[in-house]
Formats: sequence, structure tokens, C-alpha cells
Amino acid sequence: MSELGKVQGLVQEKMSAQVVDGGTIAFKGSISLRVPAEVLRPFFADVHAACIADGIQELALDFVELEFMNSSSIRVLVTWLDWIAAEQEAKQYVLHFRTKPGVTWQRTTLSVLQTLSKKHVKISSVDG
Amino acid sequence: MWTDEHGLRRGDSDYHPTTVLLAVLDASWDQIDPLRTYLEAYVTQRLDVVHAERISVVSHELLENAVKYGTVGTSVQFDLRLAKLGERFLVRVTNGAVSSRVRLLEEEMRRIRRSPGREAYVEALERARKLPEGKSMIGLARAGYEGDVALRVIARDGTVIVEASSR
Repeated sequence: MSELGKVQGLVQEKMSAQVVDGGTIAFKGSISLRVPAEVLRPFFADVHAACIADGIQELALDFVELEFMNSSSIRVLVTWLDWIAAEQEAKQYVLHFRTKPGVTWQRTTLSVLQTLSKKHVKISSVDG
Repeated sequence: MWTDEHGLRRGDSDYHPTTVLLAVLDASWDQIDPLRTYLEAYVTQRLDVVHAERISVVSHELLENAVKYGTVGTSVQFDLRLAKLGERFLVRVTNGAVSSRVRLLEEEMRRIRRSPGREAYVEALERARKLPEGKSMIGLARAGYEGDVALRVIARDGTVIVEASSR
């Protein structure tokens, strides 16, 4: 089993983030945590450590069922991108955000993240 | 053509600035999500998803700021107005705040005015990278860009009003 497959999912009252299909993190619900650094950050840190251990080149983050993410949580995504950038070149990987067409905040916010880290952010829209 | 105190234009036959929701909430984190969800459903039903999303993100970020930076134990007043059949909207959040918190908001407003829209959001995220964990100060810039709104902060007598009016 890959290290990523061993990462325990994050389940909160209004949101969840789980490793599915061995290489995708599927987000659901609404992430509006008051202190995301205490909840999201440890989960992202586990996922990041697993990606490095597994030598992953690209990690899919499925946002299709993610309704909302507050700005404090978006800030933790920036932290994650900084962790990736701090790794040796060969260990760096891409966060591939899979978005729902028509959800404006996903398009705008993720495009801004891509501006901050072109090399490590990929965005694609998932139809259906 | 002139604008009223909220930046809503008068002179058109469809100018109907209507308060669609006026709510007074405890300054509690738990109140924010249900209100945003309700607003999004309400506006989607009456207007469209794009407007609903804009209003939703603006409301959420302004309410988060009010709870995070407002005076503990005070209430937060939320006011949503629609005009021109929903083409234009105004979100106004009023809460108690000490002067040091108001200064933070005013500083953020100055930064947003210097480089509005997407640039302000990019800069806010860049700046957040250098802040300690748990601090972000991204909300206003995000609301400005994703809501496509003009922001205004009015502070007087221990009360702060943050207004977001659609462009």
C-alpha cells in the first residue's frame, strides 16, 4: 500500500477530505474553519509527507463537491505550495485541482494560486 | 445620474433598493455558514447563480472579519440590499471593534485601493505567506475581487461598518 493510501481522511461536521482511488484527495462540503491551521494543516502535512515518500509527480485534488472554502483555509493551500517548493526539485509535485464548471470561486481563487505558483498548480474543469 | 449613499444608482425605473435581509447575529462563528447558505439559496432562486455566489462570498468574508476582529460579546448586524432587479447589491456588516482592529481594516483597505481587484487578492496571499500561522488577512481582498465590489470602511464611536457595493 502506498503511503498516500495510508493517510487518514479528515472528517468534520460540514466537510470531509479523503484519499480515494489511491491518488486523489476528494473534498466535500463547505470548509469554513475558524482555525484551519489546527485542522487542515496537519492533514495537508500528512498528505504532503506521503506524496514525497511515494515519489508522486501529480496529486489530484477533487473540488467538484466542495461548495465553499473560506479565505483562512485558502491560506493553508498557499502553505502547502510553499512546502512543495521547498523540496528538492526531483521531489516536487503538482497539485492538480479538479473543479466544477460554473463555480466562480473555484475558478478565481485557484487561478490566483496558480499565479503564485505556476509550476505547482494545474487546474481542470470536470464536466458532468 | 447620481448615486445614493450606498452607491446604488437612481434615475432608472427599476431602481428599487430593497432590504432583502436585515439580521442581527451573535458574534459567533457558528452563525456564519448557515447565513451564507441561506443567502445563496435565496439569491439563486430570485436572481441567478453568479449573483448568488458573489453575494455569498462577500457576505461570508465580511461576517468572518466581524467575528474575528470585532469586540467579544457584541452582536453583528448584517444588511443585504438589492437594486435594479438584483443587478446591483449592497452588503453591509456592522459590529463593535476596538481602534487597533479598525486600524488593521483601514490599512487593508488602503492596500486594496492601491491595487484593486485580482492584484489585491494576489498581494494578500503573498503577504499571508509571511504572516504567522493562523493569520491571513485575505478576506477583504478576496471579497473585493470575487464579489466584484467596491469596499468601504466607516468607523465611529467603537462601531465599524464595512460596506461592499457591487460595481
